[in-house]
Amino acid sequence: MYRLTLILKRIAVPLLFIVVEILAISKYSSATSFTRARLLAISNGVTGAVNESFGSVGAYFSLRSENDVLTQRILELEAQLATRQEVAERGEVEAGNVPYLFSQARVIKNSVFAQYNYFTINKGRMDDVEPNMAVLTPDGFVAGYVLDCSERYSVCMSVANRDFTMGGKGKNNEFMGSIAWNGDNYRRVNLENIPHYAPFAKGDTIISTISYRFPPDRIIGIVEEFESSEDKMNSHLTVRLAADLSRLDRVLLVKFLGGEEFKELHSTYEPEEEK
Amino acid sequence: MYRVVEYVIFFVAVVLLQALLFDNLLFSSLIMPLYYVVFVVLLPVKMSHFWLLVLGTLLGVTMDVSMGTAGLNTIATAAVAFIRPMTMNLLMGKDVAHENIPYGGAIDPRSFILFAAMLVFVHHALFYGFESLGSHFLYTVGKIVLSSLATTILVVLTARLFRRIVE
Repeated sequence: MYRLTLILKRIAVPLLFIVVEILAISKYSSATSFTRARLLAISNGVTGAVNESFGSVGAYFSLRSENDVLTQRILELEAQLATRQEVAERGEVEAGNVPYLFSQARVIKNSVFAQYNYFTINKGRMDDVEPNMAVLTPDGFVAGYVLDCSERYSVCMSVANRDFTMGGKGKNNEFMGSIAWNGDNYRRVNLENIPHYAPFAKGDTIISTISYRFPPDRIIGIVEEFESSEDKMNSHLTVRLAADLSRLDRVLLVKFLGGEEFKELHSTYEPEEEK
Repeated sequence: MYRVVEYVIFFVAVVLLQALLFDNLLFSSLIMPLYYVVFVVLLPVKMSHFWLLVLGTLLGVTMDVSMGTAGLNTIATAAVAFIRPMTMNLLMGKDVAHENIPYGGAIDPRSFILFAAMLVFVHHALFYGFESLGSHFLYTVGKIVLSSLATTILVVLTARLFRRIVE
């Protein structure tokens, strides 16, 4: 009996160590993007306020360039508004029937160098932010989408996340593929599943296809490299992102009012469509 | 003897430093120091193996919640806490027996640096190894080596400061 307790005492710590490691590894291997975002949403309750104040100091340094971008953007929007009003007056489209709602937020925590990158914005459920809203930079480039919300903050999936997927197509030729990040460089993503005969060239613009998350025709990036895959059936495109993910500050949130309906309709015949 | 209050403050301080400072510093994708492991390195010499493991796991879980990594920090930090007594015996031998923390006093500074570097390296290798799961092999190795180097420098600086406070 005495011997047995001695042996138990000796192996207790290694045994505990093995249990801890098994629990941690199983937790890690079963974790989805949603689990990770949930954890970040919890810790934002503590660190959110501090990160926000750091962010507001940093924001002063980019005010000038941001003003330029915003002014330029206002000009473009004014132009769009003008044409829209003109069309509406002629009765060609129903005025006021806008399927997208826009709001804005600030990025208070960001990462680009991990394999699964997320950023946190300073708007949450209280500000009517909800999961699956698209996140765009002020110039209208794709940056990510909202994954999980707490009361005052939301965690967003960055384009530079290995779980990120969205539809992309050529602006000029309408060939569609899916955008994915390989974990390498946060400035580049891949456009997969493009048929090998699709006429892409270096410098072509890649834009978003409509989905329950993203509005159509938003710029994702430009084609940087173009090569056919090993089986020669598909092409492999490297796309340089238009958004600089390491310098996100102000972002636009886009809510698709028909998003739920769109998602439901698609899930009836595409059970595998996006987790 | 264990200086509970000092270690509680130290724990909170390293967690906040990691979450608010080092996780937000974007020097380069190859230098991402996981500074918080300094807490395990500087725990009291005479602390039992059991408590080392418990505190290491607690630190790992805290960092997992803060970084949103779901287990990754726990895998690395619990392993470092587990191998610490063996590493200490191997690299410092009898020198540490009369010290409270594994830095200063009768301990050869070079053996402390080696000890810290070894623990930091194991920690970073597990963390970035599990994070990349074998993809981008050379890049990951570079990240492990350079980040370990940065963390080791920070650990040595912290050890000097910490000894002044604790002793």
